[in-house]
Amino acid sequence: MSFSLRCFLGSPHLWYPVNHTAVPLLGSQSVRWRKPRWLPVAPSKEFRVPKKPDTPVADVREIKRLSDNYKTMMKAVRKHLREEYIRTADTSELAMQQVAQEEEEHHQLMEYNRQENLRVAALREERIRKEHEAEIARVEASLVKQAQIAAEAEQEALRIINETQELVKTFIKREDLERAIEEAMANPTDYNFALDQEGHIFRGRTTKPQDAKMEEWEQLESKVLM
Amino acid sequence: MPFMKGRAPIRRTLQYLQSSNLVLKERVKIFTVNYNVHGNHHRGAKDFVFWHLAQLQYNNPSVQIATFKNLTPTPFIRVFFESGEEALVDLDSRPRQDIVDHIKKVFCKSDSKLGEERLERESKDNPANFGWGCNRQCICEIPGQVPCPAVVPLPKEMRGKYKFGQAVE
Repeated sequence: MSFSLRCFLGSPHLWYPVNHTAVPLLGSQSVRWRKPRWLPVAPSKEFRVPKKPDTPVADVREIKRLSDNYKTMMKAVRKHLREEYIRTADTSELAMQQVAQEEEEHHQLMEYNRQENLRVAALREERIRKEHEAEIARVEASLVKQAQIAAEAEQEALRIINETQELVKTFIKREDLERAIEEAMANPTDYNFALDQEGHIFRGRTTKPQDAKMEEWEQLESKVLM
Repeated sequence: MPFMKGRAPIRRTLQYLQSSNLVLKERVKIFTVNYNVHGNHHRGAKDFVFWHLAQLQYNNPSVQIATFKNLTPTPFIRVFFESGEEALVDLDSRPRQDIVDHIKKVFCKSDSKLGEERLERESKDNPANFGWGCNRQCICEIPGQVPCPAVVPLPKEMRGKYKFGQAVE
């Protein structure tokens, strides 16, 4: 007779430990032979009358007594476990109350969080306003300083212009050239001089202090502040 | 101490990580911190991330924690819940301890709840249990019970081959 091996799955991933040598055989059933259901009963088995069990009455009563006791105890245990399950399950009153309470607490805390955020937002606005004002003040100060510097530069420029204007008056023009040359030749400047410690200046290459009287000695005006 | 590298390596010690009691509620799934590295008003957030983020992740291994640096003008924390709800916490110019207290109050389990959970966990671990996941695998390992038949054969009265006759050849 042939038999077939019916396998449903390869190697299953189980959460409980198994003997791994038997894993290939897991989930497979072997059926040796089954007569198709549409074939009629075989002639040798057609008029079979199954034998009724002839157990003694006392045995039957004893078995019934034991069975009833067992069933009563099992029902009691199952009822007890069912009540415990109902009491502690997620849909029980206590659990639902706890869930509702947690939701309520969550709403309260979110509200508290929102209030804190408002408070911090106010502080932040304050800080930004202060920084903005400080920035404006800084910019104004820098503008003032720049204006000051510009004014000083203008002053300096005017001074230079005035000095130069003064100097321009001393320039020799083209028509005065010969006159200036004749003047220069007529009045040569002598750069020789001598100084003494009191500030008397003796001009000329060969001038000696004895040549002039002491009262007529020229005093050099000091441009250095003593 | 050559292996304690980096700034404040105490943050990486087991004792420091376990010392915090910031355990987020189950409804919190993602915890995000946005802050800048420079700026006085970011200092509290920066310190919070520096000192406490590792502790938070250690206590909540299944919560996604992320930081975003130098993207925001003001620091904030954004928390995403299981229901898709979002919560924002403004951290502008707040000191580190203030931030820790706020997070603890709004998003974490309270100390009493943590105590209750610890008691529950201890009571579930009944040392008398045996089987998978317990200290003893089989009843034969428990003193006072029948020893393992693989080690000590059972008496003949308890063995099926003697009670019902030698069926298997």
